Amino acid sequence: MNKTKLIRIAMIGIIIPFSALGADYNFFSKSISGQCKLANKLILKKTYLGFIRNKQSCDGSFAKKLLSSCNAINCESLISIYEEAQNRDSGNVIGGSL
Amino acid sequence: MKKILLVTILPLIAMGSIKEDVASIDERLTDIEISNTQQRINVGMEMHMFAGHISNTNVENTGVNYNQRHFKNNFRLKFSGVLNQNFQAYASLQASYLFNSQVQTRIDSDDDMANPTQGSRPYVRTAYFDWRLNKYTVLSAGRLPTTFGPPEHLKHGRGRLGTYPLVSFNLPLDGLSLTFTTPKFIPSTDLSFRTIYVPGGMSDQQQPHKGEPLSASNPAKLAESHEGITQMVEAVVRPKNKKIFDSLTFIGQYSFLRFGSFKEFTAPAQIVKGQYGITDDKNIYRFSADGPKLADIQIATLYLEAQKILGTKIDAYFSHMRSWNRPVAKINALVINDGNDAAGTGGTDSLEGQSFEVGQFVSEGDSQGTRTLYGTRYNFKNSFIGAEFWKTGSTPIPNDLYSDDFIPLGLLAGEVTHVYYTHMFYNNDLSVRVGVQKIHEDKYFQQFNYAESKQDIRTIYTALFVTY
Repeated sequence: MNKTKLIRIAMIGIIIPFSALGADYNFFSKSISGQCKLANKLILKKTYLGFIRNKQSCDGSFAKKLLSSCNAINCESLISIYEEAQNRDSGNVIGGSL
Repeated sequence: MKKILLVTILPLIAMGSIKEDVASIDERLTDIEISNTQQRINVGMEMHMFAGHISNTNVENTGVNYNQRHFKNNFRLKFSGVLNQNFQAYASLQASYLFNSQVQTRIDSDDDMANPTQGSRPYVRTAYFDWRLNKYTVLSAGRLPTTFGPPEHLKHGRGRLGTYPLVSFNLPLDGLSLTFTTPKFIPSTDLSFRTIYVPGGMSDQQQPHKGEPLSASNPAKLAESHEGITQMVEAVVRPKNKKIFDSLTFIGQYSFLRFGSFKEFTAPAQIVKGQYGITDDKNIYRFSADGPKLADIQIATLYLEAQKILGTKIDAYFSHMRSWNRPVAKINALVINDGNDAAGTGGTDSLEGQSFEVGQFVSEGDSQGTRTLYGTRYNFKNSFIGAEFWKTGSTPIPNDLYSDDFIPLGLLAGEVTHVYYTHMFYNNDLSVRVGVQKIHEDKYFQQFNYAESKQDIRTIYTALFVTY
């Protein structure tokens, strides 16, 4: 086995297990769609990805678009839903992956 | 003229088509990115570290005041694996220890359920799977996430950390569970029902077909296994109109537990304290039960949590449990080593071989007990201030053998006041809490039942909670 191949295998071995814990997108999507009808699901998906990078902030352009198109939720409740989605994927509650 | 029209319109049509293609490609790339966050093996970590000062007046054993600084670390290594959208497995290992406890006093971990701070040897806290059988039903089995339930998460500023409300159980229990989430028939409300079956494993681990005798002196009488069933109802309301509250969580829970008797074991205990002029019992006893069943226990629990009440930044919670205990077997303690030698006769009047009746599980005869926990917190942008109050009535069943805190509250009967301030850092993944806890203890659960233990304990601490 050559050196480059060995390094590649080692990198895959390191990157896969140490990836950050994500959140349950299905729960995130269902919770928000339950409160407002969104014509553009892409905004929801981009907001979710934005929250993985920085969940404390609704300053991202997609989060702003989402909030302006849905009056039923505000920034705090959006963060709260994301945190609950994160919790559902963490193995903290029995059957929590629903 | 036609040529001019074609030259003008064609690029517009093409641009529209390209725009659609780009949007479609963007959506597909986003789906891949989301998919990458959902399907993989994850390794996570949690650390809950305390630094504090504990003072204690009216120490029962020694009669002297105690003042000491302490450091404690609770460390959890978490794993999760997603086979596909319908099957996920979780596991976590935990170690809890006071700083350098192994250096000064050796703490030997023997996997004993009665040791909440077990030393630096890790134990399995969770190891279970969630298997979605259909759109609404999830089957779970293994060592379930039954510790650190609500409202424990609120003081950390995190999402829910466990299944059972904290006032009912805080034990890592193995079991089988079926969670059914109903279709949405109440507006803005998620409703679910969960049944949990906890079987016991009271048998010879290597030869489970043999059973386990209660004691060597009575090999024909085999111990019965524990068995428990819990039914939970959960509702989370997130109304569109947030004038009254932002979200409301309700949990109703009922448990029936049949406690099997234990296999005889040897341990030190304060059985003859106050007798024979003995102030600190140094005897070693062999404990045994006179029947295969220890007790039948019922527990009913209510949990309510409301966030952003009346449009303010105030959250509040209330949790109450009532337990009904019907003890069956009597427990005996046989002195196998007289460490007191109270008369100083070198053992001629030794208690060795003498048997003492030490009562029944939790209480002598039928009893009821309550445990109530309520509190509130006020939220700032990246921090919050909170207060909570914990109170027991009579003798509730003990519930808190795996607490992260310095003092496991579920083992005591009394009152506790706790005031704290939590600040969140780094995307809310790190929280630092400073707090004062005042504990007025009337009784403390030891081995099988509560013993008088009048103590006033005050803890001032800083706690760091970090999760990856």
